[in-house]
Amino acid sequence: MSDLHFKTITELAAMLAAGETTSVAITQAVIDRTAAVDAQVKAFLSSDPEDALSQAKASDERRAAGKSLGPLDGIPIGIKDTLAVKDQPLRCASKMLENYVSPFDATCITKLREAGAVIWGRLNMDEFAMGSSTENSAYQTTCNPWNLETIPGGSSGGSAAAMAAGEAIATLGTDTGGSIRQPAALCGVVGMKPTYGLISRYGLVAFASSLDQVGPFARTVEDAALLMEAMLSKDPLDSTSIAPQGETNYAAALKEKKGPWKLGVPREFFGEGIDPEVKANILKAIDWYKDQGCEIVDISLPHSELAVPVYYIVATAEASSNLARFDGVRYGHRSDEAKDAMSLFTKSRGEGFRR
Amino acid sequence: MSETPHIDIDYVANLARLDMTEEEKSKLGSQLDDILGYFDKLNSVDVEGVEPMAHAHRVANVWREGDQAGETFAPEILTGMAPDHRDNQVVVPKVVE
Repeated sequence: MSDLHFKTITELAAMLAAGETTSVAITQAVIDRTAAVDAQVKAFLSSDPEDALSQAKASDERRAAGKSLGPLDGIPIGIKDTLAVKDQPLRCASKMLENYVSPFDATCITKLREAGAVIWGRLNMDEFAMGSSTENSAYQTTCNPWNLETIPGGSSGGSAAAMAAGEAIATLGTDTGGSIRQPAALCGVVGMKPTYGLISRYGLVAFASSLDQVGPFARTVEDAALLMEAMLSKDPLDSTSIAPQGETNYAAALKEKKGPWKLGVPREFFGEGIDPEVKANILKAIDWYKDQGCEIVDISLPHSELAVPVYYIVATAEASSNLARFDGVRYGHRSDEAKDAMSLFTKSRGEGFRR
Repeated sequence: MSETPHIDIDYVANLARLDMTEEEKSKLGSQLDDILGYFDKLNSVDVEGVEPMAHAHRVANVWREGDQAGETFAPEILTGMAPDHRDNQVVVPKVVE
């Protein structure tokens, strides 16, 4: 029972259903683990153990009354510091929002609460999600738990590192240009960027709105599927969200084995700049899939080399519009040296966006 | 390839109403020049016959179906977030002489 914090959602849901553990025990294990390792990992910007334990207690009471809300009920889920959680700090790892406390829940948080999840902590990131290493946080640099001398990736580096270190059972991140997928890869956990529109962006601090998506970090694909199912929504508060289409019972669909699969390997991904060690390991993984009976197909994505140029143009243009709201007027940092309209904007931004 | 593109960082920073140190100007200025270089790269792509698009997915404008009253925040919650506020109003430095 000593390693509850490293178990999967599926395992813990079964233990909870069988009465072998409680949400309070799981949440306490995660809190204890965080207290023991986070001085080194630095995944959390802040956390509220008392609040988490009171959510856990409510979950246990629901279960005792026969009103469990499903597999996520009582599971502690860590949240990236770019998603709004009512009455918790929302800083986007920036000094611009140092004292900001969110007055509402993001829709994805509301959906997790409806599934009974325990909302746990504020996870570090690159400032306003701009970066790929979590070194661009205004507060601290998160370390990769596998080797503290290395980066966890980013921008959702705190979400990935917390998973690898057992400081949460699952976490949420956001992905604009790789900010879930890359840190998940670097920390050895499952992470996915869902199809645009599947999960509401209401309550996500906007970076590049036509690319931003909320997504799960988990220990298994099945766990990620459970989180996706809970968060799917056509949300009137996000006009780009779409009604779930086709098969949305993801976790059940995973169990109907449809393999062996045909897997495409884009040859452009093995071009210039790939690290020989990374390449060797990917080739090894391809061999493993071959051994499972999968058919490996050589494919070409000829526009791959244009992806980064397009990304940099779209992302910077949209970020410029989205961050214009940080002007020192209605919320966020205001410079003490602001004397007129112009210096109110220039000095507040100069100080707030600066590390 | 055309000549190396260059951006006037002071001009852009002024438009963005953003105060920057000299060190930041030199670092970010060269990064912006790199991004401008990407335009050149994209200009080399043949897009003849490709329909212009605003998004990779099929997205269309969504009209609101009339204003619907809903739960909202009390004025003191929103104005209370402002760095300076008084009587449910946001206080700013004097802008008109």
